[in-house]
Amino acid sequence: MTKTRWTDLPGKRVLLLLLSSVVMVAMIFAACGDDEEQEQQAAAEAPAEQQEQQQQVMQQEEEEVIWIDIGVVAPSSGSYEVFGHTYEASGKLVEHEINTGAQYCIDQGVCEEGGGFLIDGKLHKLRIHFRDDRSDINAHVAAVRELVRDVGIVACMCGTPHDFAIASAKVTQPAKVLHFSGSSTLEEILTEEATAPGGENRYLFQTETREWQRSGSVMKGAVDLIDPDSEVSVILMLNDATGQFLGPYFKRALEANGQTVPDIIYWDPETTDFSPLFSRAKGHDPDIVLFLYDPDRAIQAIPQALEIGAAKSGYFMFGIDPGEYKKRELQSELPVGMACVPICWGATDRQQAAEYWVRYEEFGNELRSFSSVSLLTYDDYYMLIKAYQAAGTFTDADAVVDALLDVRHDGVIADGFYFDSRHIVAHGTEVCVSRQLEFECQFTPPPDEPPPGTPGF
Amino acid sequence: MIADLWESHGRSASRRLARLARRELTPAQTIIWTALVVVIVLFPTIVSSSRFLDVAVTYGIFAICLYGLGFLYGQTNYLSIAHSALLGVGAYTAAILFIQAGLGFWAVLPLAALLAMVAALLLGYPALRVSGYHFVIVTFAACELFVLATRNLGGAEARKGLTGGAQGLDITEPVGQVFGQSFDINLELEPFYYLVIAFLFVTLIVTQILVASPLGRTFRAIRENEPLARSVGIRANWYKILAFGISGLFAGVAGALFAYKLRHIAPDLFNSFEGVELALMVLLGGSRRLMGPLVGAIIVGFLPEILDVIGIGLTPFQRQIVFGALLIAVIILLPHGLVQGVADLYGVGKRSLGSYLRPPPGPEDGGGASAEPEEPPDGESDQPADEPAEAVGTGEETAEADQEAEQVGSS
Repeated sequence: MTKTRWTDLPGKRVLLLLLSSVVMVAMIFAACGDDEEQEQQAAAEAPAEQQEQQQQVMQQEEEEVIWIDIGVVAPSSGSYEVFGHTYEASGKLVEHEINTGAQYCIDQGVCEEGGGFLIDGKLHKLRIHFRDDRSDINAHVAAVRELVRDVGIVACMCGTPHDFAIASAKVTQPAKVLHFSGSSTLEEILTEEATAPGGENRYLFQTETREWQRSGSVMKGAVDLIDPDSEVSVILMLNDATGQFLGPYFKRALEANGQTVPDIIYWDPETTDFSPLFSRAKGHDPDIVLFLYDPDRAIQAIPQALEIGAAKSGYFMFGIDPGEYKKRELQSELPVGMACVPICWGATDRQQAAEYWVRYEEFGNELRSFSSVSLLTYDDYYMLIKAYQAAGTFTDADAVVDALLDVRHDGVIADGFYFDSRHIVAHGTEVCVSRQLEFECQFTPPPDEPPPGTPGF
Repeated sequence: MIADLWESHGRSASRRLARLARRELTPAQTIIWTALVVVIVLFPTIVSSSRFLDVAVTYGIFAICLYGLGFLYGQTNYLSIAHSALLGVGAYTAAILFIQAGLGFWAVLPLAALLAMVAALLLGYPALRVSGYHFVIVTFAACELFVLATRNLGGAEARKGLTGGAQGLDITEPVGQVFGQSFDINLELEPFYYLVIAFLFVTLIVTQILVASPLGRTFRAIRENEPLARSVGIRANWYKILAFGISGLFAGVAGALFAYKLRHIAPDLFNSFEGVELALMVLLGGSRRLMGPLVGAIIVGFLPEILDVIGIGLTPFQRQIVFGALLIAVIILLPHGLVQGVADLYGVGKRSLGSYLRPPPGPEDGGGASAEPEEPPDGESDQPADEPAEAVGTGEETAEADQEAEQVGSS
């Protein structure tokens, strides 16, 4: 006997189709409910009077204030969280300072007494949208695309490290969104042609100084502080996109400071035993051994170097903050140099930076090994607002870029801070040296000329 | 020769396809497939978030690769970690040929697929001499080898070399137009989404044809009893390498799409961690059902995003922990994947409901024995016995498919 299926009946099939579609669509809507819906739900639960008051205040604010949406996409979790959290920290600090009219903002000549800032006589405030990219390039690009397409941001502090910056710039540039990236490797794509009006990267900015400037100031400071009479240095460099880019720059910078560099030893990101590499370095009988550029690995590696006795005069670690070094209580007979990106919180001679770290901590942020990276965007917010004010608009991206290139900002990192015609900032770097946990720091300005062999010169 | 092949394999495959087309779905399958198709097709309309759409594009591309991986795992029981490297071969082929020869997406697509297939065959030749954990380790090593090679090709000047070193390569042009339709993802997301869906649809059909073909049965015969298969003259190694090659073909297509989605590729995008993630997606969704890899990709792609939305009050780290815990729970509780697990639950529920509603047995029923035969526990009891399995591969085959598989071995 043939069994008739109930789905064979046309009416029931249609019903099934409809039911399943409705259920799935409802599930998707439920899953994709945005913050606005959640806020509405929370608001509905609040007492009626409070709700009314809130609505009045919000209405009043909406009438008077124009909000500028800026995105921050950084890793708050995953392997890059160590420096990602600082972007959110500095972003929240700036948002608070500007929107409440903090003294620093007023001193900068940006803010009004009651908070906010004027563009063309109208009061504006910042609304910063944070997204965690989970240290995943796909999540990063998806978040940038959401902010650009759905939120309508006009600027984005996003794209570190290198791959993230390049991939997200493909989204921001066609949309004419000003894109500030802390990746120091963008120099090769930020050419005069690419950053000119109509160029491929017209709206892309590098918030770290050019590599020949940074490596120049760092290596000068390191050699001066560790041993000015040293002659031979060996570099151990992380073998990733940034490391491969940095290696030749640091070699040239050392050579410009009178050093011979017989070897750059690249180490892979998953390396944990550095003994063979330090033994290879020791074979060159170096005065200084430099370890770049991962601070967490440096903390693991330097004790191995000390045990082997790889260097005669001292060691240098890039990215380690003296504050973090002190916390770990690392002991070394030889001086250990360290540099931050760009100014250390554990020991600094620059007054503006010291005050910034106080504000940073008072705002509830924790000072950690890579907290100094927060400075790579902090000054940029103020520069951006000054550019909006000078251009009289925040919506005309080309006018804002033109104005931004004219801004000279006395900021935390440096006085007279500016972006050059290739959209790259110029500043010095602070280098410190520890002698038995006694620190000496030196802020070295960038060299005037690039060393011989620098690409593009 | 070709006529013979067509006679023996082609006709059989086309007959299978025709049977598939005629096949009637169970109510549960009808609901799920209909809902899935409706949601996929209407996704850009019903979801306003570009972030979700971007994630759908990315994991749609991964799903294409997963069907290759699922095919390999399902048909031969070999779980490869090297598929991220094969994805990388496709992506690098697309990027290098664009930069060096100016070839666009459509020109490079078959080459990317072919090269990834060749890479898979070359890798499969030594790798498939071992099995189990050893195979996983070999493919893991192959993945790392790929990353090391692309990162360091060119030595000290690797970043100026063919692969661009650790900094990778850029593709400056979008996917070429088709009938006037542009696919520049950075200008419009929706056309690229539908492009990926079209590729995914073709992948599904090709997978089903392969599984239902005599070739698929031969693979299953080897999987179920390799010594027996060998004893009757099947060149098991040759077939396993072929399965690996076919799965590489899928990865190559996905790789080319991935390169044109990001328009920037670098070695770290294809490291062994990504390989493990791909394998995880197959395990999560399950390779026993056609829907499995797709569901695996959806879970891994969207669960963190949904947790971001609903996980208010949780820090990003806590959300990651919740995500990890959920994945572990699925793998432990549903070892054959989510889709198979749900199907099993459906079967159990259906039987329980049936026995609850059924009137108590009378004395003539012989002391409680059911008058009707027990349904098999896979929840597919109303599937006609002559239907081919709806599976990428393992274990889900119907009695007939298994019988056929054994016949291949014994003929």
